[in-house]
Amino acid sequence: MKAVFLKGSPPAGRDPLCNRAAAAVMARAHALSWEVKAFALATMNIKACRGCFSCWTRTPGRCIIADDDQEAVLRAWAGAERIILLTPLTFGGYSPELKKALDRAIPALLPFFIRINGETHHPQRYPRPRRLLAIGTLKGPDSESEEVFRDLVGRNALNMSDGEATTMVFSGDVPLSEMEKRLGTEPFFGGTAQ
Amino acid sequence: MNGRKVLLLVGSPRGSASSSHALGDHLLSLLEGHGMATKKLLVYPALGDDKRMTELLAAVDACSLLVLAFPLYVDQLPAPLIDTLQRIADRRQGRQGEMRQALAAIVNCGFPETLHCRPAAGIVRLFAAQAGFRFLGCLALGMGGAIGKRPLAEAGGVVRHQARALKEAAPFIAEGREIPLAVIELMARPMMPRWFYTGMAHWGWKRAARKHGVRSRLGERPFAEV
Repeated sequence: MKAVFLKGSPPAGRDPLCNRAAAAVMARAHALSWEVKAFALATMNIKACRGCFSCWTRTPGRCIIADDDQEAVLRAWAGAERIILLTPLTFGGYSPELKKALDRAIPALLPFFIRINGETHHPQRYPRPRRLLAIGTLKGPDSESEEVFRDLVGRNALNMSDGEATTMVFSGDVPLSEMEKRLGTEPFFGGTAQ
Repeated sequence: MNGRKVLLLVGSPRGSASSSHALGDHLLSLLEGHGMATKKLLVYPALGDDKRMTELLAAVDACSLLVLAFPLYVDQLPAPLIDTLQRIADRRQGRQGEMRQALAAIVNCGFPETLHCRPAAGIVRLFAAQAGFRFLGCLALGMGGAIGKRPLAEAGGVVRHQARALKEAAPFIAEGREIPLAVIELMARPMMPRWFYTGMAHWGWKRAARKHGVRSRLGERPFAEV
C-alpha cells in the first residue's frame, strides 16, 4: 500500500500533540508494511498557489512554479492509494502549512466537471481507489471546531479521493499509546471500528 | 461619513484582477453610500513583506468592520488568507471581550453549487469567534468564474441576484446587524443554468489549452508510474 503523509504541524515542534500523532501514524503504517512518503511541510519550501490554472491549461499536470519543493509532493500524491493529512485545527480547518501544499495539489485534478452525488466536482488526473484520513489536534475539547473539520474533510474526500474519508481529532494531552490504539481500530488502517 | 471604518481584505492571489475583488469592491462602494470610510488591502503581497503585514494588522485594529472577500480553494480559504487570519487572531489574544468590531465575508467558488462553500463559512465564523469579532454572516456564491475580473457593475444581468443581495446586505452590515438569511439565500442563487455554466467552462479550458498549444495534452499524467 502506497501512502502520502502530509504533516502540517507548525515549525520547530511547537505542537507536541501533532508530533506524537505523526509518530503514531508512522508506527501504524510501518506495522502494516505500507510504503509511506512523509513530508514535514513546515521545513519545506512550498510557495503559495497563484491561482493561474497553468497546471490545467499550459503545463497539464505540472505546476508552473518550478523552483520549490512541491513537485515531490505531487509525485507521491499521484501514486498514492492512501492520503493522510495531519494538522493542528486552525479555526476548524487546516494549518497554513498544510493548506499551502493542498492548494498546490490541483494539478492532480483535471479541469473538467463531473457529477458526484448530484454535485459538480473535478475528475482525478490519476484515478485509482484512494482513501483519505485527516487527523486534527486541539489543545482542548472544542466541538464547534471538530464539526467544521469533519465537514471540511468530508468535502475534501469528494474532491481528492474516491469519496471515503476518516476524520480523527486528538484533543488535550493524549499519550502516544492511546493514539496508536485508536489508529489501530480504524478501518483506514485495517481495523474494525464502526 | 459616520465615523465607522470598513476594511476589505482581498484573499485572492489574483488581487485586484479577481472575482473576489469585484464582489468585495462592490460591497465597499455600497457601504460608502451608507456613510462608512473605506480601505482595501490585498492579502498576498503582505505575506513575506513585514512592512505591508504591519500595515495590514494595524488597519485591522483600526477598523470597525472587517470584510473578507476570497475564492474557495480546495473547499476552504486559500493558504495565505488562513496564515493572515492566524496572525490577526494571535495579535488579538487577550483583548477580546467587547466585540465592538464586526466581520462579514464573501466567498465565491468556481463550482456551480454554492454548497461547496459551507466549510469556508464555518471557518470564517470560528475565526470571528476566536479573534473577538461579531460575526455578521457569510455571503457565498457558486459560478464565481462567470464574474471574472470585471467590476460587478459591468458584469450585467448575469449577476443580478448577487448585485441585489449585496445591495440588500449593505444596510445591515453598515449598522453592524446580522445579514438576514433571505439575503444570504439570494446571494447563493445560480447565475445561469448549471449545464450552461459547465459547458462554458469546458469550452474555456479547451480554448485556453489551444492557445498554449496543449489542447491534446489536457489529460496528460506527468507523474504516472510506469
